[in-house]
Amino acid sequence: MIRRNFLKALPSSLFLTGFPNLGHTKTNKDGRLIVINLEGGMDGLCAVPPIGDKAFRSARSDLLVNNNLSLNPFFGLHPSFKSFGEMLANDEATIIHATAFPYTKRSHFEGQNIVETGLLTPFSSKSGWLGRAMELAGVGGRSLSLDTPLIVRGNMVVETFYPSNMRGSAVPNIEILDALKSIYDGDALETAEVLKQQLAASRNAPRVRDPEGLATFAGKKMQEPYGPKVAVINVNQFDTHANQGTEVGLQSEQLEVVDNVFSALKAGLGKMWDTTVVMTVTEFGRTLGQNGSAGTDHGYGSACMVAGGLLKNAGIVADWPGLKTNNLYEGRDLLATIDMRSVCAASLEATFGLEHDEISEKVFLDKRIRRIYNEIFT
Amino acid sequence: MNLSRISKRIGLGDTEEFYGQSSLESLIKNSLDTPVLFKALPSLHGTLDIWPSEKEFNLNQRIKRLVKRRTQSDAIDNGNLSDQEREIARELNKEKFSVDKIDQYRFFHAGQYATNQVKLRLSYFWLNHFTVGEKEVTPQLISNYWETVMLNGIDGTFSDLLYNAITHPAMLTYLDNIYNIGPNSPEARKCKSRAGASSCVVGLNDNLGRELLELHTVSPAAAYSEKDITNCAKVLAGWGNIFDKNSWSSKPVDFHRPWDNNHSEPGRKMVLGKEIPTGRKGLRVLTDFLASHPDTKRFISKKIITHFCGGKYAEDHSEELVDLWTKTNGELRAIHSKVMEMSIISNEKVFLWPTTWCFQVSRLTGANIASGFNEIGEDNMRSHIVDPSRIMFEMGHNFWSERQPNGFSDMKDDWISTEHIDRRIRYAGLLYDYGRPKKSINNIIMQHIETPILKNKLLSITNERTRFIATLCSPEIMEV
Repeated sequence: MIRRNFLKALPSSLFLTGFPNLGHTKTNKDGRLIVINLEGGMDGLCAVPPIGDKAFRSARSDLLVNNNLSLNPFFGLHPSFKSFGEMLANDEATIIHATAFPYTKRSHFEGQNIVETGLLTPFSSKSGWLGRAMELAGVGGRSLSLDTPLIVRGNMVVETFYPSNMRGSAVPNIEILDALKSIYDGDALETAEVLKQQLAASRNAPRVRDPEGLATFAGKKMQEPYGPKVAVINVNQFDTHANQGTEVGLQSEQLEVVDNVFSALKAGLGKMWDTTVVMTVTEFGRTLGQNGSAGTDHGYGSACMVAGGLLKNAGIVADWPGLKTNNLYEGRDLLATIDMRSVCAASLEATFGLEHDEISEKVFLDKRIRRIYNEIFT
Repeated sequence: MNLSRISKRIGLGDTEEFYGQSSLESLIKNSLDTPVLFKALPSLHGTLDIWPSEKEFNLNQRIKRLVKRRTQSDAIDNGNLSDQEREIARELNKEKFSVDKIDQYRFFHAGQYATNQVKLRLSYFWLNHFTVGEKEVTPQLISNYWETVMLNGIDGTFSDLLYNAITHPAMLTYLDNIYNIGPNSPEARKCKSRAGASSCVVGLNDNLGRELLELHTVSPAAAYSEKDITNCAKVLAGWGNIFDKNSWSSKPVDFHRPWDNNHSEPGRKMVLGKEIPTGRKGLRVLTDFLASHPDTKRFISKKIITHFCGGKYAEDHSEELVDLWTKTNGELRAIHSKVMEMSIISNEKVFLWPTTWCFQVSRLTGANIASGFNEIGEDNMRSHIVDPSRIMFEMGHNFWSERQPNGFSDMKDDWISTEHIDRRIRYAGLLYDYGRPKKSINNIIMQHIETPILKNKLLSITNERTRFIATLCSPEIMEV
């Protein structure tokens, strides 16, 4: 299968940030936070199917998966999640279901913006929730701002990683980068500076570009004593309008990529896994019912997968709204009963040691966000 | 009027058609009046030639190839082969009938060498506005989509452009409309009577309907409802039935604006308060209505001005273009001329897309590293010859790549990254090392760098290779 990414235009991409600012760190905890951004609107009802809900089977008869892993009598887990399933068995993963960022208009681009800004109005901020949280926690304080996904934009060093494969081309040398630095200003100057640092630091970086390879690389970098504390990995192709598939097919392949990203991160992080939270985000879930082309259209509530050594007990956190038509959002979508901002806040609390009220007020700019730290992390 | 400044400003620096023109007006007129002549190099460092006709494919030829590819791939799947043999046979079969690589050569060479660059430059904007990325068979169709819809439509009305883009099989495939079937269509009724309502899988797919409103026309500013989206999908049902379970059908269908009444949703539909009639003609009524909707004019005016003149300038001047749009009923020639004028008046810097930059620096330097039309597929580190499709992919700006329907960004922030700058440095290095530049870098600096400080800084770089790369990657060449 062909994958896209290269920053905006590419298949999968990796962003590392949160380099410790020696002597100035305010964090109470030495945690690591990795966000896997599932682009396109991930179908939570396929990833974590509510097999015990009677309305489920009849709504999507062509999309049913036969060999789901069994979590409890009510919820199954898509068979692609082999590693994640093991993490659940080891009490180092949990699932939050019927959750979404508070956005109900079903546009990819507005929705993706809200996933990144964590605010209620699309395109209303130039910084992201993770970036603001990192500033608040003093994770990486060097004031360099770059390109980068909006989610981590704030004021810190970010490394993007997607190695070039321009045949026969020479690696930029110090002289060229110095020349460019002398003629650049603003973001371009900072970019040239970071390129120079990368040149010095990452000569031995592996030349991988698939999500799993990038995840391994991220894990290894984050294991280093002064390595980055935050990573964002994009995995795309979740916009399954047609031929979504069952235990085989498009959705199944992409979920397997996500599963491999989880296991590659764990392997790469080594003992630092114990101080890590990995979580998925997506712009929305998909319709309960299948459409006319064995796919699902844009919806609302989805599922969020969380894993890492900072979790104590496996479980499914959900306030299940039910799937009867009158329980669905606008009669068609899984209702979101847990605000994804609460999940993000809990992860920030667990990794950076920030207080919930502070996160609520200063990261999400909304004091009403419910604290669900205990439901997820204890 | 400084035409050299204008040409560089829109990424067409050192383009021959700018020579000898007395005014921007005559330049635009001449450009829009003449068709594009596709020129290319047959081989790296070869002599410029006309693109060979046997490497051009019309829509029917493309469809025929897809059908053949499909038939033979079925034969391979059913044949008595080992897994490995089958894998190889499939690859060879795909390669044999695919033309997307050839198309990308044509595109990349045209960007450097074709006549009528103004038209080409405008067409990239529209190709991006009506984005079609890789999905299923779309790579085999994108070139045809670009040339027949965008290039041929550049001098028409927005209304025609919209209708032609939406009904092209590339768009219908990319945004899943080939799967969009009316829930009360003849096909659905037949299915229900045969299989029973509960086990019958036919219905709407709203992907194209949604993006038609959000990205192609009115934008979320129109505050449309989910019902409007569903009704758009109903109007679109029936368009694009060129399909036969997972691939292209060999059924004799008209692939130019493919319509199948069997899939269409009967009855009138309301979209944003407008009543849309039933049947094939409904879509044209809908696209005409959307094309002249005030929110469409505002949204696209701002977008095209942002692209050519900068975001701040667009904030302040979009209304002028909206007025012109209204006055001319969306005549693209008038709109394009105005935008070109605005791009000169605006002093705001515009960050060039990577391929536009590639084309511009190739022309400014006379250097080239892309393999030619007799070397298609050649990509060799030792002889330093690079496949243009790889260049565009590595630059993060390949119109044949898989991407989201909102297309490539017009925001500088999205392109100023370590990854992208790294690639521009590498590309400039390749041009210097193996591209045989025809112009001296000092002349290029003297002619094209305007700011005295930058000019002096560049000229003071002692190493010629470094000076070459720094100039090509300098703010004045990347951001014009």
